[in-house]
Amino acid sequence: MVAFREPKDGYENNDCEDAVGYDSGLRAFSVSDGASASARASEWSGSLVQAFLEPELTNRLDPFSCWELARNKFESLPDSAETTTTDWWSSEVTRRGAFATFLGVTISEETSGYVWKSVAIGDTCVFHLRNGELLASSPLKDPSEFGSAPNLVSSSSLPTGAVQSSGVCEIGDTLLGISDALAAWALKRSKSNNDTWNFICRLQQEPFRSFLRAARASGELEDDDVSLIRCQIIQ
Amino acid sequence: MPFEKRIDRESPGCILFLIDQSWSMADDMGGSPGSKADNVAGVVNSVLYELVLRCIKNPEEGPRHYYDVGVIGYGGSVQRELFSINTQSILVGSDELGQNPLAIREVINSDGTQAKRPIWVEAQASGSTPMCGALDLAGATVAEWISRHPTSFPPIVINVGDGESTDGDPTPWAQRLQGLSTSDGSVMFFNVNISESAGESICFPESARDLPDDLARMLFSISSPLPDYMLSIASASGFPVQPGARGFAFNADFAAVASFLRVGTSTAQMER
Repeated sequence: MVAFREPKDGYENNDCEDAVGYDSGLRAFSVSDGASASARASEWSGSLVQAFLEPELTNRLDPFSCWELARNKFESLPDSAETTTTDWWSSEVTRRGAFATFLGVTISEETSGYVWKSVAIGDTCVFHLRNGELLASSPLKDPSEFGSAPNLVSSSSLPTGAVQSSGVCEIGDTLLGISDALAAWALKRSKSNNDTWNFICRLQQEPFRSFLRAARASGELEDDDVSLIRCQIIQ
Repeated sequence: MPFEKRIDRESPGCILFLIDQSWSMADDMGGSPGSKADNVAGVVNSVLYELVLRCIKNPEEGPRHYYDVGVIGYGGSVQRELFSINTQSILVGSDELGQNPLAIREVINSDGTQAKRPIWVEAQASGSTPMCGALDLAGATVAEWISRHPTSFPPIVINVGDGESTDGDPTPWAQRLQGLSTSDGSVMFFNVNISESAGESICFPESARDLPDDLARMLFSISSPLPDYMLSIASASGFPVQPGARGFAFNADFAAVASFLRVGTSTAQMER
């Protein structure tokens, strides 16, 4: 597996509110896109990804178990402590909570083959590719489905709207986890360019950055934080 | 494409309110308890509160300077509001605004929890309605801001009042304001006419055909069309908007003013 995570153009890595992670041993990966409208979005997206990849998580695809673990991690972070300042906003920001999209994917070896299963809330997507062709995508399938108000996981209330999907992989297949801007770009471009998915599969770190710069400058790609995780099924 | 510039500390946005503080604002507001002045001050304080909260990424860091915000009051004379911030400027940064409310009041949330609600603007009602003077000051303020932020998301100016200008025809002053632009689009100038009596509000009309009088038609004519992103937000907020809808509300009650200002102060991209 290989993962890329890039902030908006001109921003530092620590400004990026996306989180991405994988664990080859667990055969699992996760991507979360922190919502800029909320405070502490990057801490919350990071907590969701970390929680999904915790070995102790018994039912990884149960959004409630993952959310509970993520919330515990989030609330144990230093910023969550009650501040001693007299500001008027801390309690309100804490009450409103942080928001993020979430995608978690597991791969398991079953009698039918290598089975991927995903749970997603929002517009961070998993794509299943074979020989450069898109076999499946979830939770969104068309670029028109992306908008400015995706479903989000809140740190202050139980998750709703989770979409679960699954598929069977063959050796050599690729799974991609991609946050919204690049996912929308890929779905749109693939309608007119058959090489789109192969192009994404070939990207390495520096070409990835160059591609983002060029695509953002041309207006093809929304200037948003971008995360990409690529998982190839091997023997 | 216009109205796409990201709002951040390098390229802040600008939101300016013009509030009618003439004597007639002391009258009751149709369909809502309290005077028009009380209701307008309450709604503007709520909008400022939400705006500052949008600027907080980390509670310990406090609000960031994503916006320059101003409030101009006009009642007898034209004056700068936001007295609690120690500056002579009409516009103040959202970081300064958040740190320096006029007062903090304890309120009870709908879930029964206590919360602190800052206020920056108090109700006032006296004198005539020098709307042209307010628009003159708004134009000068926005022009100066644009000279310092020529590529930023364009300023949003919202005028809230209940009556006719007493210092002339505001049309040329409004046109001057709308003639200003950044590289991301023209200044948006919106108008809210608040209600005298309980009756149907008209929000974001696309034509003047259903407007009942000359004042309403004049305010419609000087209000900017909603950009596409704001049309979408208005639609998602339950307003039955049509293409060509303008940033104008007539006979608006408290709820309509609050909803209008939420739409009217929205920006195309989230603050970063």
